[in-house]
Amino acid sequence: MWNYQKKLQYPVNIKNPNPKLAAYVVAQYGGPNGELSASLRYLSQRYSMPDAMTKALLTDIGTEELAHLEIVGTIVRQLAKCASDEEIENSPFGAYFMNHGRGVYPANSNGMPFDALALAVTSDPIADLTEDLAAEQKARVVYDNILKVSDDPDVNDVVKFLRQREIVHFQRFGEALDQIQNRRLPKMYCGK
Amino acid sequence: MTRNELLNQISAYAFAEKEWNLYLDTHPTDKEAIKKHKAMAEKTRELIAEYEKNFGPLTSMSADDPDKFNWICDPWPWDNQ
Repeated sequence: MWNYQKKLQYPVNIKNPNPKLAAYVVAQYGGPNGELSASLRYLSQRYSMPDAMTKALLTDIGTEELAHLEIVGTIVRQLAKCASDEEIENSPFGAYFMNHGRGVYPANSNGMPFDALALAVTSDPIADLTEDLAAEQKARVVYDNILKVSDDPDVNDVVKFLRQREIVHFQRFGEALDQIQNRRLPKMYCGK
Repeated sequence: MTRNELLNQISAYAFAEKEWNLYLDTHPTDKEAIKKHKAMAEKTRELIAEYEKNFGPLTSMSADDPDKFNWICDPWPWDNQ
């Protein structure tokens, strides 16, 4: 189960409204390479993982992705909350605004609602972990793209944190895949 | 410490704990890392206790005001601080 802690994993305090940027950043809330996709991918794949290491890793990274989902939702909300109707109308956030107002909805930056087709579960640990490696890199690319178009230091500071997490998760998934393929799992530890 | 300063301290130590946690998932017999993970977890718990004493509960389990259920109090994490 999960316990909710009433805090963000990384602080978000955005001073300037920017509905255009909100329309881009929402890609990491409900888009195919976003945090919802990541958390559901790992938390669903973990049931068929073969050993203690991969069960733990997918649970822990999947849980961290839920914290990242909350961070991205907070960025979208803070960017949109104080934007004027006129600013919104003249930005790419306008079409989103018709259905969702200044709220946070899991869609990609084209307005397409979240789709579980963005993730896979094969129950083959090598296939699943290889997908996870690619997923971390694709998420990193989206954060790179946000950094290319954003000049808001309050947003970029948080996006850089999230981008770094993709790289660390990629590293850990790589180690897990290597251990499974080469059977380097130490005989330990969890057994009686 | 102000509320935000303490919250940032908690986030820093909790992040370090999480980072050792993920490292240990794939290096479960690294004794030095186990020690560091434990130190970060202890410091995080200590700071959370200090926060909850001064600024209210971080989890519903820690709500302890007999007059009002202070778990619900603003701010929530997505509010501008």
